[in-house]
Amino acid sequence: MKRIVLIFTAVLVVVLAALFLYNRGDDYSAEKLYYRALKANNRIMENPDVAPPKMVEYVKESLNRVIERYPDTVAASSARMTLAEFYMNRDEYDEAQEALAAILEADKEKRGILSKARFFKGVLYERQGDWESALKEYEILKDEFADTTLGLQMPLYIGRHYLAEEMVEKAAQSFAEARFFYENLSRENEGTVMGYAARTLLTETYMVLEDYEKAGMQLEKILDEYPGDQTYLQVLPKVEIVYMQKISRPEKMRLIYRKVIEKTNSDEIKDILEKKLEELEEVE
Amino acid sequence: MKKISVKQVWLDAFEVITRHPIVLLPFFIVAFLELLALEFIVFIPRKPLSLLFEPIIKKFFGEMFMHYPFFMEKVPKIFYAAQILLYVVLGVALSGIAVNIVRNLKAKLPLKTNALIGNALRKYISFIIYGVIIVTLVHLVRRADTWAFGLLMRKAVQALPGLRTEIVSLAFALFFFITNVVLQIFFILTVPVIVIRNKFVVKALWESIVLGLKNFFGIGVMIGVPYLLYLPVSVLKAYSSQLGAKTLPEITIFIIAGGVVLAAFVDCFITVSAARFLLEKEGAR
Repeated sequence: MKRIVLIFTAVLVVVLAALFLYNRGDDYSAEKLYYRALKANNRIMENPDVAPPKMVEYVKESLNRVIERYPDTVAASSARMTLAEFYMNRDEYDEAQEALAAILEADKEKRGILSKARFFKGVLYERQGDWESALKEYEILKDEFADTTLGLQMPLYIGRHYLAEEMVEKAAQSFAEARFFYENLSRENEGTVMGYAARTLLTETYMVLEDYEKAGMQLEKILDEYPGDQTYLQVLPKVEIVYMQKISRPEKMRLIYRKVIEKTNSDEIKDILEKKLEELEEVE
Repeated sequence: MKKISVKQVWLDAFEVITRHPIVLLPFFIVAFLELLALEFIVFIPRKPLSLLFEPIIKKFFGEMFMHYPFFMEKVPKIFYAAQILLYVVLGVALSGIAVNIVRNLKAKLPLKTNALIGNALRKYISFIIYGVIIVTLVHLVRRADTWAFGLLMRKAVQALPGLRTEIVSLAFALFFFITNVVLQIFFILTVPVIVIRNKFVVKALWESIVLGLKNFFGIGVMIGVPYLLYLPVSVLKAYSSQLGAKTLPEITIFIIAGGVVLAAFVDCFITVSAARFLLEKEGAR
């Protein structure tokens, strides 16, 4: 009996060892190591001021280990980004710059990651008070990464920066550029996700500028150009803010509700909008 | 008719296991195969197993479950499926062999491997049918439990709005444990009846239910108390995702593996007890 148990145990150990050895260095191993580092990093982020130095070292070492041991994996790309964020959050700017440079070198093909690294580079300059260098990064993002979420947001981001700094002229110039940028993009990419995102950001630009008439027009254009329940659910609350809260245009609101009721296939949306129409009429 | 003492049945079962540990072998084989299955399951997202299982995992759970730590969440589910398969195909037949060993020991007959396997093979269809029936019943009981428990909890939450989810998980584990023991009271003697009384599965099921009804409390105590040993594992399983989040996701694997090893001993003790119980009944008749 003992012999049989021993044989069973030996078989289990051998199979386990073989599976481990066969898979040593694969993506999954990298994911495991990265997960542990990320978990410790999240714990540090909860309360960075009292993070034990050992834990901080552990995160650094583990992330570097993922990058060194499994350089071509998805986990390594994520580890490089986490390491950069880790240094940024600890205000270790030189190390953060190095980590970001490593991303720009290693993840040349991954536009999403590259755009994030460029953005972080800009943020890093901003934190060091070097707006000009930051702006250069943001301009690169705007010009070369307009197809990414971050790249697309840059014109608005730059304008908002000037607005926050109360640099009125610069802000006006930036917002004018942003309007032009988004208008062009939304026209050139009509009917695509990119076009939808550009039109949404154009609306936001008008909202920041408090030009609600034009913001409302853009929202109506979105409803016309991108009909669909998802669009209605996303856009109608914004239309309500513009036409009901910012500028009083209940007749426009009623018209839009009726249009959407006609177009939508969702009974739920129809019911909600019909109720809203009734409420609007009651108020009037 | 002579009354059968549960304590005596336990003592006899304990004596059989300690004096003839060979009776543990069928359960060790099941445990070994389950652990082997667990090892392979843990390596499903990795080569070479991923080549075969990746499309299946993606279809049923989604792409992210091919990655760590998300895959770990699915290990208990996949293992449960493997366990069911092993139980139906092999587990019942092996516990039938264990019952045969107990019967031969009681009758002072020799234990011949070929004869034991031959006997099990002759009753294999009955074992398979029993396996399918019991798995279906456990599944249905679980669904009924979930429904009843959900109803109960809705009322409890209304009365106690601050009820913690951890307590709910624990209560469900206990609830399922109790209903499972009640279910087993009626079906635990099926395999011993198939082997000892040489009955086909339908008749064996009926006799087991009748015996369960007649000896509800006796059988309930006989199997319920040893099953209590398994309760901590059931509770740990209920909390495995929370434990995994606090420690490491791999904790699930250790809980499952611990459960498999423990189940080998508990199941053996319960099966031998059930066989002894039936043999005592036979003697009393």
